[in-house]
Amino acid sequence: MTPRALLLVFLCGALFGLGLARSTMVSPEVVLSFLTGSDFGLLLVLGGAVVVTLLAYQLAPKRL
Amino acid sequence: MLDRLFPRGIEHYLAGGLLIGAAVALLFAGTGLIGGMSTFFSATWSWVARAPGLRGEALVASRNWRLVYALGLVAGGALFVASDGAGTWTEVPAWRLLAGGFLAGFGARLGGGCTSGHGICGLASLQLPSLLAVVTFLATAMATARLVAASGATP
Repeated sequence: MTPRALLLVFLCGALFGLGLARSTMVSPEVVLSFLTGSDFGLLLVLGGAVVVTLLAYQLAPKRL
Repeated sequence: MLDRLFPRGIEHYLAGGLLIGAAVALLFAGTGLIGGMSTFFSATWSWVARAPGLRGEALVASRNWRLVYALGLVAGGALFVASDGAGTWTEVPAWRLLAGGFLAGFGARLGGGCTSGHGICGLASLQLPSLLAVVTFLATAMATARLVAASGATP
């Protein structure tokens, strides 16, 4: 991979980490509150991420 | 109704989820790569491990970008903690995080993917096996969490 592509990979990873931390899913207490049925936020995080990714997978130009 | 389902509010969940989605989407649009996270663990072992299961061609071929992707993840998380950090704290002791992380890592590799690989990339590419994986690990985790809570244990 070219250094430029690796830089993009790094930035995407950073964006992922930023989102994961912002969503508070890095806190076991928050994840547990989903698993025990007192806060369903995890579904919003997963759902939001899936919808955006689904659009990209469907719409991004096909690569060779 | 919303207050009952989401007592901590919904904005940070939606914002975080959309950022994660944007990251995986941008990775695909820019490089064609499928951005699951946990393969990074096996791929990184491929540098030193002798076991054939940890030396597969796909792992060796992807270990560079997977390591860079994981380093980015840590950097992004650190950036958020340094700038805002709201809701990222935990009272869970380090040894439990380590033990839980070991089990989660083992299970994610055994199941061929984690919440990002199966949960985001797999569901977004409409893979039935990924849906089964997600339903299985969420249902198992729910049952385990309730069982452990009923036994009187606290985080």
